[in-house]
Amino acid sequence: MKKKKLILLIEDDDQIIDVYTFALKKLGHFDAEAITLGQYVLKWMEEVKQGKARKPDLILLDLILPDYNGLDLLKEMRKEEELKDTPVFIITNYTSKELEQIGIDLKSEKYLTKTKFTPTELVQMVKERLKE
Amino acid sequence: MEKSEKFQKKLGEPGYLNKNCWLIRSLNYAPYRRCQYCELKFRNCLFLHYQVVSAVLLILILVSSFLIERKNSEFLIIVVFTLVIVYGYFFNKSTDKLIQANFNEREAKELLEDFNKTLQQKVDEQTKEIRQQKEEVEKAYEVEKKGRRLEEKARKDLQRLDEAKSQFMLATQHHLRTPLTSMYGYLDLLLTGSYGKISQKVKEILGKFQKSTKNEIKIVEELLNISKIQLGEDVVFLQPDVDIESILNEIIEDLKPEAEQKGIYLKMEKPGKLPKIKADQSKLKMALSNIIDNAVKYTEKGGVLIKLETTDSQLRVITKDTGIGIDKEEAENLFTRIFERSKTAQKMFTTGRGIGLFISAKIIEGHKGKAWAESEGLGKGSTFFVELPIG
Repeated sequence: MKKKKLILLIEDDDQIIDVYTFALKKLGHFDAEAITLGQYVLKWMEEVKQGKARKPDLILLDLILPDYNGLDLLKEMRKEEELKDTPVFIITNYTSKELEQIGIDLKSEKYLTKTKFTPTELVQMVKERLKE
Repeated sequence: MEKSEKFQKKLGEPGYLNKNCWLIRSLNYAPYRRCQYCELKFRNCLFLHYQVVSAVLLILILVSSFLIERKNSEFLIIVVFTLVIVYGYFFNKSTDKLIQANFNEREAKELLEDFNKTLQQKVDEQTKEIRQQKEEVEKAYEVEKKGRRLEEKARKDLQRLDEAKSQFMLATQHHLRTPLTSMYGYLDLLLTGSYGKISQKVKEILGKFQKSTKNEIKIVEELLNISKIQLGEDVVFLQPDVDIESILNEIIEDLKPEAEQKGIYLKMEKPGKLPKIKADQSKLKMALSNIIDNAVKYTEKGGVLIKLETTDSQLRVITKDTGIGIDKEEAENLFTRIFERSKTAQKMFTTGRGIGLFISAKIIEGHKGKAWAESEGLGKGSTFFVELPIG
């Protein structure tokens, strides 16, 4: 059986995790995992480096986490060999051209405001990006 | 040394060594050395000069006197007499010279003292002036330091205010949008049947729920934009080569269902190839969408025509509708916040805020453009103009 692609969601709101992971699994037929805190993301990065955790095919990154700024985490990710080219979509409720530019500088591919797309549309965007 | 000191006390302050003094030269002295013989300086050497001569003469006189005593010669008397006169001359000369030297020296001393006094006075005055200037400079420096401290404080206050504004915007955006995101998301999944099949009735109700949620999201966006404008944050970020035709096509696509439902037309007319403009794509879409949305909302019969015109320097987007029209007075205030919808408009929609056009005006202002409305009057349709610079 063909292995499903893995989408990692870095987000702290439970309901948003529920909505997006459900949509990604049900509509996109992806594997979806969520990490809620910056410190757990850093631990997970170590595990990916050591081969203990699966490398994701795409990352959905929130900017505002309780303990970390999403862009700082992205900066750390881009330093790792395994994660420096992983596609990243920034999904956030904070609109800022400055942050968008920083995201572009850190090779993020999209800067999406959460209230401007439905889960269905998000899954569609992810599918299009990961089309082989 | 003692001898010279005693002598100096008697004669006053010593002058300078005369290099030409035969005695000094004969004794081979350097200009700044004292006379080795008598340890005195010029005046005193001069005195010594004549005194030595006088002394020699005196000795000669004494010897001569002794000889006269012994030889009883008239010639010797004359010699002694002559020697006495010469001695007297040299003694007198030495005293004269001494007095003159003393006098010169005293005069020089007095002149020097006067000069010193004047110099001291001048130095005192200069010192006072410098001290005053120093105080003034210190005062000015204190004032400047205080000014710089105030400037630094003001800068820090502004920085804190900026951070507070950013924090406020961050918190407001996050807290207002987050619950709407999950509502919007769940509704979408429910309506697409992701949670299982739902009855038509439930679908209808959820559809209305979704419409309200979309509306709520739109209101929140407008309020957040107003906040940004009020906090002085940059409204637009201009990028080059923006295609206005594609923006308008998107808006027409969004509003077509509503127009079709109402049975009104929504179409665009353009003059062939349109120039690209410098614009903030998403904000400009919001601004134009507000205007065209209003036109569709307040038109029941006929429709909305979007016309594009260009001149050398300007691009005009003209939205003409056959709707309820605007009172001439209201047309002037349409794009300002103080606008309150006309009674006719209020009758049509009980909801609505009247601030969407204010935001549109601010966005167009940010694009260095103009927006205004014209109408023949109530019931005679309206025309909205948006003018944007090319290049």
